[in-house]
Amino acid sequence: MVAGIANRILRVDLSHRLVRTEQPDELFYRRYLGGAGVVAYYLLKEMQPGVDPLAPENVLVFAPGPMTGTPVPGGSRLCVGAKSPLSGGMAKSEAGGFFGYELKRAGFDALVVQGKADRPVYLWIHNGEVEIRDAGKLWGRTVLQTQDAVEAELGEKRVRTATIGVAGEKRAAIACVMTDLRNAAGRGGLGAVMGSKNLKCIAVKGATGVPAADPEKFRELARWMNTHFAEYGNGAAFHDVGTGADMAGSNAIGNLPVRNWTERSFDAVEKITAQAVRDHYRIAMEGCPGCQIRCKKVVALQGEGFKVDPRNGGPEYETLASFGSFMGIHDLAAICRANELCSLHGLDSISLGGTIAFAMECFEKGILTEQDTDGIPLRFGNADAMLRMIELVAQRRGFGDVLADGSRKAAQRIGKGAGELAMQVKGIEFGMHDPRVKQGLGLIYSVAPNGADHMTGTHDTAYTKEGRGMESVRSLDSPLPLPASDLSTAKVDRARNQHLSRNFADSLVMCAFVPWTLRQQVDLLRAQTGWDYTDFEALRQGERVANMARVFNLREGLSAADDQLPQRFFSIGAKAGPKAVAIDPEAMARARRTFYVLMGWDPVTGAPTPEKLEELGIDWAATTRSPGFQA
Amino acid sequence: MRITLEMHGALQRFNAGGQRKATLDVKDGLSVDALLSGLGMDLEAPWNAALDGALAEGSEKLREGSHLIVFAPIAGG
Repeated sequence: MVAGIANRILRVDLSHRLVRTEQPDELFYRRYLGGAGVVAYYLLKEMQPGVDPLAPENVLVFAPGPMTGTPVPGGSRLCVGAKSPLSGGMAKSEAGGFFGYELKRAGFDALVVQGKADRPVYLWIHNGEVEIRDAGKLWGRTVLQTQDAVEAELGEKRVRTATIGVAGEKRAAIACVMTDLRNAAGRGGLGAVMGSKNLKCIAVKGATGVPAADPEKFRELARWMNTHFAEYGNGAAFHDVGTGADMAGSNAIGNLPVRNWTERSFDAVEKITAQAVRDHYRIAMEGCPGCQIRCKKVVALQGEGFKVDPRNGGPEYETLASFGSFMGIHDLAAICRANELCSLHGLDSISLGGTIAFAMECFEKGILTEQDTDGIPLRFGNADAMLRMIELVAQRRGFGDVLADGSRKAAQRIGKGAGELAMQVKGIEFGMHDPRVKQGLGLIYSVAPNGADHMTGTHDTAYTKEGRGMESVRSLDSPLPLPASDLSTAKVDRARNQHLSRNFADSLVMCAFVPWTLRQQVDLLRAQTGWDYTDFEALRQGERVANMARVFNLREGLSAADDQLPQRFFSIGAKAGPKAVAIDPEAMARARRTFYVLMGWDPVTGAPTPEKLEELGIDWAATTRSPGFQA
Repeated sequence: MRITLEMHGALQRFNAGGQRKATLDVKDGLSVDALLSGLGMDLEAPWNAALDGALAEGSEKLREGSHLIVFAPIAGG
């Protein structure tokens, strides 16, 4: 088999307590690679249409990539996927840390979990062996407590885990899967799916090396990145302070999310930046295997006020913003504590932040009162209310039960016009980047299969002028700078190409923070596998993933009507600068249609044509459609 | 004319006296690119600028009282 590929997919049927492996052929790996490609393949191929996301029939996939398990910078990540309880479509999310690295070194290219255990269990994967073990004593415990208990029971140190907290056990649709305590496969409610299977934890330990076809070239590329990352992308800032370095600058251009997207600037931004974290609470920076960027903050709070255990990591930008400016909160200690609660209970800090901010706006507008919110004055700026609400959501207690399934479902339960305040696409809350500033990202927020996920497309502000920032688009399209608010065909083409290249990177499961270009990723893949892979093949692979996800979503009842941004983004908002802009709804509608056309989809329904699926070698996908599906 | 220049993060070292925020006297009609280039900043490196509350192009002209903020682009997180 090809270097870098274990040629073993681990299948676990929890209903029947069956474990087996399968060995796909080389064409499978070349077409789908790993990560997002393997997730899309198994979800589309093996799940019947219309399955309840929390039913045993949902398929939960954990997939590293062909370079996972090697020390290449950014290559140790893991993609997790399933049918989403938030969107009803395909969810996939990537997490850093060591779990993917260890799963690959345990001898598996992916783990596919189906069925439901009759009582809580955990999996122990080691040296090619798999055990389904009782997790009765782990149920109800935090992610941290689970890690310690599993290591104690196994008598092993440095066991890598993918775990759910109590939020996943209680099937909160905004629950996530935590890897190694402080990394999250956050988006789409994957923790709820894991909880619905009575699967508390997956513990893994491996010792098998992952060889490269051309080890000298592979090492050369890895060394280059570890010595040059500071010259590209955000490498230098990520190394110095981690994500969230330039929130003040972002605030200055109206990109920072403020008070559920109602305002465009936040006066107290300097109190919640990564620099503020460094100056007050940071005790260390850490990284993933082989990566010298080391972007992950570790914080510790002791003494008066909040206590935060450094084992639970520290807040990334998304969390600083979602529990900070997005709720009008500038209490950095409270934000660090909120981040810790998300890690302990297994909650997606983006969707949770978005949902609480939604509830705060409802409260401010009188749609909710303290009678609804268990006596909690859920106002913008109230850090204590935020922390109390996180605990309630995790336990699904009181009003927390209303918020536990995200803002869209909460709005349906609340009524009174609350739906207009739920800022989401396909039920998935927005990443903390304003689509009025980054309008190409706004397009991708609307059309991406996994909703308003900021990791699936272009960030326009990186490509507004000549320079090294353009490197990452140089092999994708005509490398001309384009204004961030542009929605021309050229911008749609760039957004499309970056969406496809991101799908390819998510199939390698390469980190977006390591500034690899598409060409460099292809060079790495060639050195790893020995394949004569090309840039063209890489974009085709990304396109294949996008089409499989699109077919899956259409099959499950989503449609072009779900590719819409909330109305709020078509107005400028309060506290905006004199040059601030809104999205022109007609321009966005044109861009969406252009996107469909460039994708080879029906320009009205956005459905992939049979010819497109055949072109991509996935004509089998057409046969998975429901009887009512029409292109 | 007099402008205010803020430079964030690692870019701060290019500002007058290495300050985060400085007031500068510059010639009329100077562009953002010309100002930053004159301060020794590598314009090929990734950066964004906010001018008077919005994302600015490098070719934009500064005016009396302009407030320019220069920072690294924010993307993931």
